[in-house]
Amino acid sequence: MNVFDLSVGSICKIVKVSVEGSAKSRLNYLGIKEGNKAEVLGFSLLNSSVLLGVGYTRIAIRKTLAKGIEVKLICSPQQKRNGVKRLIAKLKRERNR
Amino acid sequence: VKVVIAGNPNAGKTTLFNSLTHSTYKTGNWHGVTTFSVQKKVKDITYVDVAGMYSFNAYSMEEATAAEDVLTADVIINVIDSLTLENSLTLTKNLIAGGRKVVVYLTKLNCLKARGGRVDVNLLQKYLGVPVMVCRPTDLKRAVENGSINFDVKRENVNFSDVYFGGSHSLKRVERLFYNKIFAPLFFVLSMVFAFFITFHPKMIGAIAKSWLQDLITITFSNVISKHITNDILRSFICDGIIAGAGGVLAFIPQIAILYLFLTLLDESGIMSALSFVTDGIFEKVNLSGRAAFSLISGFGCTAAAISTTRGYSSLSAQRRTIAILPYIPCGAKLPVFLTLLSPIFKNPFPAVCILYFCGVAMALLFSMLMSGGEEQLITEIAPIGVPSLTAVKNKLYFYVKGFIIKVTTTVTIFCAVSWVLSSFSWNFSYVSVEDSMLCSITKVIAPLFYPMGITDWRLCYAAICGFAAKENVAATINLFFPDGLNLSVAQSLSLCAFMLTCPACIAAFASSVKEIGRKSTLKYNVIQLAFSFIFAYIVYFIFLLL
Repeated sequence: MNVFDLSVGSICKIVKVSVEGSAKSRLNYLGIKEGNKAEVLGFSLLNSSVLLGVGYTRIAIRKTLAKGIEVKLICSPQQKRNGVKRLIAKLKRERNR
Repeated sequence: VKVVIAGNPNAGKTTLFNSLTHSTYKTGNWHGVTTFSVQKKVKDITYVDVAGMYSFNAYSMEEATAAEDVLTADVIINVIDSLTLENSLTLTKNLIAGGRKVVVYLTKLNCLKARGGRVDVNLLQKYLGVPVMVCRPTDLKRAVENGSINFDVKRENVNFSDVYFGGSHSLKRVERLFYNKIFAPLFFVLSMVFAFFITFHPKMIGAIAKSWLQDLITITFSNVISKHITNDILRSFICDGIIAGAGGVLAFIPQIAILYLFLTLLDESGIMSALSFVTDGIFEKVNLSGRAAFSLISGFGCTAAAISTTRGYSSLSAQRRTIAILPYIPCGAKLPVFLTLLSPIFKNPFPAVCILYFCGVAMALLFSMLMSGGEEQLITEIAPIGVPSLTAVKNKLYFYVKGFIIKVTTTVTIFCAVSWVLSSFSWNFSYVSVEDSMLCSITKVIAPLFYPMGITDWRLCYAAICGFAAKENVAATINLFFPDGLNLSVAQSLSLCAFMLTCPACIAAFASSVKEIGRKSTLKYNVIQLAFSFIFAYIVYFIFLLL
């Protein structure tokens, strides 16, 4: 699975970076390395590139390179929304008590 | 002592350099504003501002140059953006490992606090084993000059989570909007149309202020001067040559300032950075990357400066392509030209100027698509979106407007003076009418090239040619030769506008291009562009003649 298989708002873990040459070291310095968590912040017009949030850095990467970043989904936007809903419900319950 | 200011891109290096050396080098809220090293000596210390770098493994030309300077430094001021401190430490550790004296200077702490983050400066010193400073640039400067920085900081085992907390990860709602692929381009187009509207519409502040300033310079000031000069030739030289020519161009300051203000706000707020990502899809179709958005938008200000922003490209062919298409983006200096040509035929030149600007952008993208070559990969950091700093906007606007005034009062004034002399004297240096002047006989040789675009008046041909030195010269020369305004048909005006839109940029842009891609390629692109601009203008003339 690569970042283009995910939707905006998904949080994933970087499993493998199969990019060659100086681009790989650039990605590495920007925080795109195995084990790091990344959030998909958006896709560009015509889906040519993806904006990833790694830590506090936002990195725009062209599709041809981004396809070489293998990821594992940790939390989808739906799961995030459900989590927030559950948290709100829990807080409400606690307040009612 | 050589003090090099190094750090990741968009950390605030040039802002610090400007404060330390009282300079006005261009700053911006995006990756790659500084593309070459600049240095300035203050007392015995030479401060060097280098391009942003992530490591010593150069990915682009600008990084290679920066690395070379860092390797020869006596002291390195490592500027770190506290918002992305974690990533920045890779370079810091590389710099420390190099064995040079390193002092870390933290920036954007207010933004970090606003995000709910914190950094413990003392612990960071211990974690890195180098001095870390959080102070005003003047205090840093004093510490560097007095040699009062204590470099003997002992490295200790400190947990990084105690040193730094970055605050909230989540995007602000406004950021989500600007990363949206529909909203961001739409916002950009609408904001540019709005900027053009208040700049060019005759009932808006830009045109009103311009008209007031024009009257002040060319009528009131000119009348005062003419009363005090009795010599006819000298009066004509100052009033008809200098004031009518260069003074007429100075009157465009309000309109240029408004347009620059919009560009600066887009830049400083981080919207331009977001735009470079969102529009990458369009640029991919024309063999460029979103990085070209920075160069093209900078091109609205000055083509020469925009050309130098291409140095950060990793692909040479993408750099060449961007440089080749940049002259099609109408720079700030073309604005007075368009308004001078269009104002006599349109009561409200706003729609026509808008169309010209959008035609320029479309043409640039079209030419890029036609040029083949290697692809530029987009890997870039995107600046966070926020409220622009008022000081940064003010400084930048001041820098732009000052540059324009200096250019008009020096280059354009000299050009007007030379043009007046050439158009007032014959080959045997007797004071004659324009038609018998040296300039007339020289220009008439090349004037036939302009006949197919309906321009038969050699004075207009001369004005168009003057643009190759500096585009402001075109409006100045027209003001000089046509004090009562132009009397052209729609087809003639538009064909001349088409020529001005597509013709090669000024000599400063030519020099900047030679520096980046060499003389041979620059000449090739300029010759092709010149030929195209004539053909395009001929076509525009015939189309509007038939309509």
